[in-house]
Formats: sequence, structure tokens, C-alpha cells
Amino acid sequence: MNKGRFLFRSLFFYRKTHLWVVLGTMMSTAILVGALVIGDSVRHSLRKIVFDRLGTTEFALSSGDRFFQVRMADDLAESLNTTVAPLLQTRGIAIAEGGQRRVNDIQVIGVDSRFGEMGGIKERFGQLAPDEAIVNRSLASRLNIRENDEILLRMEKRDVMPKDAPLSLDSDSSLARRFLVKSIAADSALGKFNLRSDQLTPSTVFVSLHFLSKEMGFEGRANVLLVAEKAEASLDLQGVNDALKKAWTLSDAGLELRNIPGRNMVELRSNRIFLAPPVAAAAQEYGKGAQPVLTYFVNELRRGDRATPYSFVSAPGSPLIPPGMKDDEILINGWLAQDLNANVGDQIELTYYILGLGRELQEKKSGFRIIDVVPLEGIYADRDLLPDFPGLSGEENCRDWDPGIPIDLEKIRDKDEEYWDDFRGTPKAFVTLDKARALWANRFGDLTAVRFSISDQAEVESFLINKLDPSDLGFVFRDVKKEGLRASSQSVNFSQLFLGLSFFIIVAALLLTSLLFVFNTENRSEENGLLRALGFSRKAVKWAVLREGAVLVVLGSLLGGVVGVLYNGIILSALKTVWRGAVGTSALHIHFRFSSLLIGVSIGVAVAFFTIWLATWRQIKRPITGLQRGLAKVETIEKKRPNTSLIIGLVSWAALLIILVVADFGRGDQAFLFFFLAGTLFLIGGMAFTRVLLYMLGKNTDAVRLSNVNIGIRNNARKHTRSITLIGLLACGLFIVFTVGANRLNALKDSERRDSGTGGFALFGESSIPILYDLDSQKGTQLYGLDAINSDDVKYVPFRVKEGDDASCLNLNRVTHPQLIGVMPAELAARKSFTFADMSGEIDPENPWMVLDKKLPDGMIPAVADLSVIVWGLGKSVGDVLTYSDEKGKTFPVKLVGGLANSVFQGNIIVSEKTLIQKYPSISGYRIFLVDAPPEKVTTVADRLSWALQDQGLDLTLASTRLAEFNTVQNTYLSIFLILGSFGLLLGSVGLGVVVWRNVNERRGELALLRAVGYNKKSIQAILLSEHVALLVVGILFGIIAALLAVLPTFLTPGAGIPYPTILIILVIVSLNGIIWTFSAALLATKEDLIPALRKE
Amino acid sequence: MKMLLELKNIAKKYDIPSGQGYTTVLKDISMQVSSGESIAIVGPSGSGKSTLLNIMGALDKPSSGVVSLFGKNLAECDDTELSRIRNQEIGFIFQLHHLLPQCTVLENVLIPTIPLGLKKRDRDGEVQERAKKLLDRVGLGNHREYFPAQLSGGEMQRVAVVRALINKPKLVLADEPTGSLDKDSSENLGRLLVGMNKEEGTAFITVTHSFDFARLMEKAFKLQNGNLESYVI
Repeated sequence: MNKGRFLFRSLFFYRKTHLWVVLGTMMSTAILVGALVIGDSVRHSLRKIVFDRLGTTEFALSSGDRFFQVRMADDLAESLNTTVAPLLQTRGIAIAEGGQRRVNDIQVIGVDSRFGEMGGIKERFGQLAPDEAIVNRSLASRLNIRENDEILLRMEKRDVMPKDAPLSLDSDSSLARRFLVKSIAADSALGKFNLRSDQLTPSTVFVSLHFLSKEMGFEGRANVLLVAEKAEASLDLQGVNDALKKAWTLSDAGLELRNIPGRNMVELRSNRIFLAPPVAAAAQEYGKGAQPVLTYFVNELRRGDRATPYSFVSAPGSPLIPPGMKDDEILINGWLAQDLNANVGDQIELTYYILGLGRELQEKKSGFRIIDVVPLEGIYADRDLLPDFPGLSGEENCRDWDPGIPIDLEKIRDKDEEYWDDFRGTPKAFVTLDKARALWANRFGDLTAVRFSISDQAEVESFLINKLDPSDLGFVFRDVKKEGLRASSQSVNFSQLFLGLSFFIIVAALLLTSLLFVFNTENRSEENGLLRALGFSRKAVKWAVLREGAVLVVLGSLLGGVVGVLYNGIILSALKTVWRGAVGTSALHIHFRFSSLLIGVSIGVAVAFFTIWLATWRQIKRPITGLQRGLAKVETIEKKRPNTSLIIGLVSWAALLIILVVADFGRGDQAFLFFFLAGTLFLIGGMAFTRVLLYMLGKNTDAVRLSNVNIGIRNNARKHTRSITLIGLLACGLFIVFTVGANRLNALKDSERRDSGTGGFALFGESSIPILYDLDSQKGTQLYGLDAINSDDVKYVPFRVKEGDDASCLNLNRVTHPQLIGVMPAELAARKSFTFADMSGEIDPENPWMVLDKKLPDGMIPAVADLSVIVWGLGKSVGDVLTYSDEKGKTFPVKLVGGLANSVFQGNIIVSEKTLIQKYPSISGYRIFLVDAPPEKVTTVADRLSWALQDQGLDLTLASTRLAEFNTVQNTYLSIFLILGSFGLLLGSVGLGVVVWRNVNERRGELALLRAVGYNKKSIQAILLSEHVALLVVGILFGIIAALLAVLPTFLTPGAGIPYPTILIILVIVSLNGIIWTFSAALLATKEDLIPALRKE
Repeated sequence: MKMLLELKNIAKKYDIPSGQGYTTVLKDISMQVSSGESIAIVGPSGSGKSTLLNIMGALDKPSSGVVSLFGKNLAECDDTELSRIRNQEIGFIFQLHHLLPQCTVLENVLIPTIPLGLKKRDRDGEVQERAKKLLDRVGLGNHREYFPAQLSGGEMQRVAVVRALINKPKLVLADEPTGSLDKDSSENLGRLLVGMNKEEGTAFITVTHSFDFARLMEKAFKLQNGNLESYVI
């Protein structure tokens, strides 16, 4: 006989009871392992998605509305010795079956064979005819189309000139073409192509790059470059950007150098009319008489009652402008002097448009004193001063003008036509550059040209190329693969999430394990006592018990490891199907690292071992004589006052009171956290006080009050550990179920309220193609045919969009550059829309939205986002700063000053519109709309608006529906929590059953004695029922009160749809379940003949 | 004869669970036990016989007084030393056999050898041989591989006797060893215990209700009202 043999004998002999301990450990470990493996699986799946969506792409450049020559890709490919693919990317709408099915907000990408090389399928993308398209699976399934079907694509017509730039044309913002679906791109064949860090697959159409660029009006140009990774040597970001610096030309940036005929000069101009500030600055640094020029279109030049319509005024500097000319002085040419009958010294007034927000134009006037009348010849007859205004400069006749501003062609006289015929857009007046800049500078620039006193274009180009950095114009590569992998590795931590969601079930499983192990140990207390009597030291006995326990927990945990992987499979299947709302993708694959398995099993072993160690320690601590005689069963009424429990109880409830006093009811997630803590403290305190109460009940030996019920209750005092364990299991389970149930988000409830997540808006719209005009304005109403619905009670709040990553809970990746949206804060402030859940010091709580217009120190831009986006999507908190790059490649800080309670803005960072267009002048039009409409008009408004803006791909949904979509994620997590919590409850019920069964079994002698002394079956049943029902009632009460405390803020928050019926049903089920177990056990106990048990005793 | 056990002014009190005072079980008991002696302690139920036996066997501690076992004051011994004494110097026989149901007869007998930390060779050799001899001696040589559930009450108690003797203790303490047996089994066990007491040369102390069993011992004491008095049966 040795320790090993003794261990083996014991394990084998008690295998039936040990099995339950093994199962308990297996369950807790399986849940632990499952949670860790889910983390591995999600991370692995997201990583795989990165490779699927990028192919071999390592670096990408997206130049937005600047279109470089495709040649640049060739140059870069040669210099980097790898594949470089140019793409032309835009947005659009796909329509199939004659408009029966349409999908908005799709990616339209012009590609050639080089794109195919990124996915190892060169031929497929390189052989696209002009009328052929490849669609990805996502779009094919949404449109229900197959190969050789026809689709209509309406695409945003990209333009070199931002749509909001002064005089930019507002026509042709989209173009529609029909395509034959040549093939469907599988996910593994670049079908998932997406430069954003998102696990969701966008709907994409691939067409011929050559065809698309030609249709857009800039043949041979593109706006995206992909650089493939090199197999033999790695590329670095700096190297790629350096190569770009060598490869780019001025033409790639839309800049042009040209000689001015007849004058020994070279002029730099932009196809965007205004020179971007970095370009203008670099050009002026050239020296050699670099002369900045600003030429502007004025509506009218007036002297008294005589006026000349629609003319150009220029600020060409020296030598046209004489030295010393003042800012309020003007030179006019002879033609104008004659037309206005003006002379030197006369005052004339200029009327012109300046650019407001978006395309908004404000007519302004400015007065000048004529200091000279210059002849319309020589340097003053320079028609090259006129920039290439679209709709103006190329037209044969004035009456053919079609600029992007309102003009009254009726005002154009014959003499104006003649001037146009003879002198085209030659400026009629000249002002100082300072004055011109003061009047006409805008967010696109303050110069229309820079002239150099040199005839060698090459020299100027060389200077500018060296001086300028491509990043100044937004030409900068990003390490998209590294960013994607980082975003996936820092994605939502599903291990932690599921550990959190499974916390109570793990605790329940461990408590059950402990309970079962304690039963086993208690039942074998005589054996342990004997061993002590036979000379085994306390330590030796303890280790004998622990060795046995260790084998059980190791076995249970190993099994748990295997079951955990299976459990992970079930959870993943659920995440891909019934719980898809939480992840939004079915591209999840089982994957586990051995280390996760090892960690899970090790933690399972450690935690379960610790649990049984605690139980053993308490058992072995008992007096040896008691153990040996089996007195442990009847000698558990303690003499020692449970002071520790009393202290824990007092401290917990004192802390609870403090929280209730100091917590700010109904404000933000912190309030929820505080109250959840309050509920937990109530539970802890409740358990501790129950322990004290049981002690007091155990001490109460007043025979006068002895009754069946009292005997039952006193039995609970006798078995205080098991009583508290049971109460704890039940209370925790109910706490979870009730708290989770009450915290479910209901987007419909209170959705009409301004402080709800809809902001009180009826509709939320998102367009694929920007809508250039304010839908409320006269122009917008007319242009889009909204006369029938626009009224005083139908209003729009538009948002500009700077595309970025989706930071909503629908995206599992940890994004760094979420989408920015710009709004006029006054619109939201006036309505007092939405609720701020967290605010920094910069915010005035009375008027929080106006913080967006505030100027913060260090050039920080104030921004607001959903608190859940800030905390979970970005891993930040209110007060933290994000860094963005503006259109000029300069970084700027965005400070998250406020966090909104769950809102329709999830996934976006909100800044003021003014700020957004300052930083991104090329962003034209609006793409997000909140619509106010009275309930009775909502359907009509939605129908008319969707119809009117279908070419812009407006997706209009009820604001409450959009909120519900986001709530789906949270509610899905809550469902998961609820399911796992219910398992906890089930375990609690099983625990109760085990306790009752073991109690009855253990006390057969005791019960037999009661029978022998004359108790009838009913009396014994009453004792057993009162004993266990008391535990049930206390457990349920604690659970309910704790949960009520935890969800108190939810009652005070709009949109909190508390599912009272569900909670009630669960309560009834739990209560019934407990009573059934108890009653069955009581019946069973009294059914058998108990007298033999008495004899054994 | 060498003195093995000495009790000096032993008293034992128990607190009343309700916290209202205490009850005195043993009062100022003194006695000496020498090697090879056989002693019976008789007394009515609840007189404190088992308590006294537990104090002698280092299973319980007196409220006052000194217990010296083999010249050592037990109050000065730590748990390790007390465990060693119980294992190597004392053999216990209880009213209920307390055999481990998961172990065979032979394994049950060998249980007390585990704390000795014997090498496998010794465990398998000399000690096992002794166990087999002792089992043969009590008539259970053919039942070595039986489990307790396959034995009668008397057989189980005989296994418990062998288990008590396996480590060659100098003192064997028996608490109502025949209490759970029928008359015949009781007589057989009594004779066996006395015979083995002589053969092994151990001191033997038993507490018992049975005057027939007590009569087999060399000396007898009566425990009543907490006092121990010499008693002639």
C-alpha cells in the first residue's frame, strides 16, 4: 500500500460522486477555454479577412479628388520593382431588373490587369471590355444577379474641381452606364477588396479603368494606387513614399505650367482654378519675379446707375498694378470706363459672390476709387489672366455660359457679347493682390496663378517638384496591410468579452464543483478522522484529499479543454447565425492556439483546485475526534461569532449607501456602472448578513418556539456554508437575468423624444452620391422636386462626410480613423437633440452641441461621438485626442469632448461643418440627413424623398430603425449574456437539487429517527420544504433587490423598454424549478422505509 | 516494567453550545500504565470513557493536567510529533471498525504504514509479511483481497485489530471494540485481543460496557462522575 495505490483506490471507489466534481470542473474549464478560443477564432478570422480584402497589397495611396496619371503607377513599379496597380474609385448605386432591385452605396472601381495581379488573377480583371463589369458576391447576392445579367450603374461623377469650389459646375454629379456582368468575384479573388479596416464586405463593381476614367472626363487618370508586397525583399513605407516623390509630376497634381504667348513668362495654374496653399507658397518661393495672380468673376461693376454685368477682375501684381496703389483703388480698362462713363477719381462698386458653407453663395459689394483708366492693349489685354472656369472660359458666346453660380443671362448685352468675342475673359479691372485676397480668398486657395519671369518651364517644374512634397497635396501612401493587421489584432477582445459574459456561469459551475466536493469530503470525514487517528498528520490527510481533488480537477479540466473547443464551435455557429447581429459576418472560422488551450486548462485547474482547497481546508480544520466519529455531520453550529462576515456585510452596505447618495441618477455609462456595483455590493452584503443571521438562528435554542418550520430553518443554520452557496447561486443568477433583461435597448420607446437616441428625428438618410444643395432651400426644393413635402414641420439637418473607418459596434476591428461628419451645431442645439452621457470641461451642459464651434487651445478640433464608439470602438475616453491628416497632408488633433448616449450617429465622429470643410475643402455636398417630420407625414415624406433622390442613392430609414440596428449588437450581446446567465441559473437549480438530494440522503438516519419518535410523513416533508424553500425565497429576494438597484438608471433613461413579462416568467420558472426539486426530494425521502437507516446509524 | 503512559490531574470540560457555562466530563484523573499491562475502563454511557481514551491517544487535549506518553509531555508536541506518536507508538481500535471501503483487507491493514514513508522494498517485503502473518493469526489469511463490504462485522473488527498492531505499537487503545458485535464475535475478539496483547507485549487499554470483556483484562477502573477509581470485577 502506498499513497498512489490509496489514491487510485479512493478515486475508483468514489467514482460516481467524483464524476459530478469532474463534470463541474469540466464545465467551468470548458467555458474558460471556449471564451479564450473564441478570441483566437475571431482574431484569426479578422486577420484572414485582412488578407482577403487586400490580396497582396501592402501599401495604398488614395488621393480622393486629385487624379494622377496612370503612368505614375508604371514609374513606381519600375522603381520599386513590384506590382503597382492604379485604380479609379468612386461610389455608386447598382440597379438590376429595370429598377426592381437596387443597392445603394456600392464601391465602383476602375481596374486593369495590375489589380488582378494583387490577387493572383491577372487575366480576369485585365480583360474587361468597356461594357463589362465584375461584381463581388455581396452585391450579386443583394441584387440576385448572375453572370451575363445586365446591371445599371449610377456612379458619382468624380471631378477634378471640387463641387463646392466657386464657379464649379453643379451639373452631371453622376453618370449612369449599363454593364454586362462578366463574372462574380469570389471573396478569395479580391471580391472582398476594401481599403477600410472592416470585417464587413462592401458591395463592389469592378469595371475597366480605361473606360471609367474616360467616362469621368479624365482619361488615363486614377485616384488610388496599390503597391504589392515583394516576396524577395520587404518594402518600407518611407521607401515607397520616397519613390513616389521621385515619380510624381506637376500634372499628377492637376498643375500646369505654360508659356504666356508674347511674354517671356511661364505661368503655373491648377485644373482646380485655385492653387492649393502649399503649391502657391512653394511657387512664390521660386523668386525670379514669381508673381501671384488672383482673378475673380464679378456679377456687376457699377457706377451710379450704369452697370456692366458679369466680368472678370484681376489682381495680377506688378507691372500691371502700379507701385503704391492702395487697396481701395482700382484700374479699369478703357472699355469699362466707356461703358460706365467713368473717369479717374470716380467711385465704382463691385458686386460678387463669396463662398459660404458648401455651395452657399453670399452676394457682397465693395467700393473702389478709379485711379487710372488703362488701355485695352499690351499687358492689360491679357486674356490668359482668366483661369479655366468651367462653363465660362470655353464658351463661344456669353449667352452659352453655364457656370455653377446663378447668373441672369438676360443682363448680357450685345456689347458684352462683342467684348467676349474680341477679348474673351480679359479682366476689365485690376485691384491690388491684398485687396483681392481679402475679398475673394476661400477655402480652396487665394491665387489662381503664379507667373514667373522665365521661359524655361523645365526649370520651374524641377524647382516645384523639389520644393513640394506629394503629401502636401494628399499624395501619401499608407501601410494598409500593417494597419489592417493592427486593427484586427486590437479588435474587440472576444476572449475578454466572453469571459465577462460567462463570468456568472463560471462562478456557478465552480460553486457547484465546490458544493459537490464539500459533500464528498464531508461524507468521508470519518475516513479523514481515521487517518488522523492512525497517525497521518493534518497536512498528510489534507494532501491525501487534495491529491484526489487534483486528479479530479485535472481530469475535469482536460475534458473541459476538449469540450471548450466544441463549445467554441457552438458559439461561433451561433455568432454566424442567431447572434450574427453581434459580429455582422459569417466569415468566422474555428482557430485556436495551443497556448490559449493551455492557459484555459491551467486556469481551470488552478481555479477549481483553489475552490476545493478552500473546501478541504475548512473540513480538515475540524477537531480530530469529530472527524473520526463522523461528528462533522452534526457539529457544525459554530460557537465563534462570524465577525468577518459582519464586517463584510457592514462595509458592503455602507459602500452601497454611499453610491446611492453620490451617484448621479441617469447620467451615462458611469451611472450604470455605479448601480451595477451597488447591486453587487447588495449581494455581497446580503450573503454576509445571511451568514450572521444563520449563526444567530443556530444559537437560538429556545425550545418553546420549536416547530417543524423552525427545525427546517435551523437546519440551514447548521449547514450554513451550503445554505449561503445556494442562496448565492440563485441570487447571482437572478441578478444577471433581471439586470440583462432590463438593460435591453428598445429603440422604439421614446424615439420621438429629442433626448432619445434618434434625437427626435423621424428619418435618417444616407446618400451614395453627395447632395449639393440644402434640401430646405429654395434651390434644393426646386432642384429635387420637394415642393410637395417641404413645409414648416418638415426640416432637414444635413451632414458632410469625410469617409473613414466605421467605428460602430458593427465593426470588430479597432479603428484609428473613424469617419468624420460635419454639422451645423446650432441645428442640433436648437432642437436640444440627443443626450450627452459624458462631457469634458469644455462643454456647457446647458448647450452642449455648441462646443463644436468652440476654439480649443493648440488648434484642437472639438468633436462628439457616441460614448460606446469612444470607449469600445476606439478604446478611448472623453477628453482623449485623435489625430487626423487634412487634405494637405497636415495632421491635426481632434479632441473627443463629449460622449452621446446610444444614438443614430454610432460609428461617426461629429465635428462642426465649418471645421470639416476647412480641413477637407474638396468634400462637396451632404451625404447624411436627419429629417424632422410629424408622425402623420413620415411615410409620405420618406416615399417622396426616396423617390426624388434615388439617383443620389438616398437610403432612408426610420431613425428608430437605424438605432435599433445598432441596438441589435448590444442586445445580441445581452442575449448571449442572458443565455449564459440562464445556464448559470440552471446550474443553480441543479445545485439546489443536489443539495436537497444529498441532504436527504445524508440525513436518512435523522429523518428515520423523527419517524421513529412519531413524526408523520407530512411533518417531515414540512421540515424539508421549509428548509429549502427558505433558501429559495432568500436567494430570489436578494437577486431581485440587487437587480433592481443595478437597473435603477435604466428606469430613468429614455428608450429603456423593461421586459417585465419576461422577467416575471423567469422568476416563476426559477421559483417553480426550485420548489419542484425540493418537493420531489422531500417526497422521495418520506416515501422510503426509513427504519433500516436508523439501524445503520 | 517500563512506564508508558502517565496521566496527572487530567480534567476535561466542554462548553455548553448555548454559551451558558460548561460541563465537566473528567475531574482530576491520574493514572499510570506500564508496558504489557492490560486495563479495562468501565462506566456508564456519557461518563467520559471515550474522552479519556482520546486524551490518552493524543486525539484530544485535556482542559488541564498533563499527559506523558513514553516520557513525553503531549502538550509540548506539535501536530507532526503527535501524528508520529499516533502512527508508531499507539494502535487504535474503535467501536466501529472504520475500514476504508475503497481498500482491500490487506490495504486497510497497511494504511498506517504510509506515513512511515517506507521504501517500496520494505513496504512490499517485511511490512507486508507482518501484515499477512497477523491476518493469518486472526483467521483472515484467506480474506486479504476482500473488500470490507464482503466481510462480517466480527471480521471487519479483526481487520481493525491487525491494523492497530501493524506498526508494532507499544500501546493499543480500544474504544468499545466489541460494542457493535454479537455475543460470540465479541467473545472471540476479546480473546484475540488479550492473546495478541501477550504475544506482542503491548500495553492494552480498552473502554467498554462489557463486564465479560473487562474481566479478561489484568486491571479494571471505573469512570463515574468524572472520577476514575480502581474497580474489581
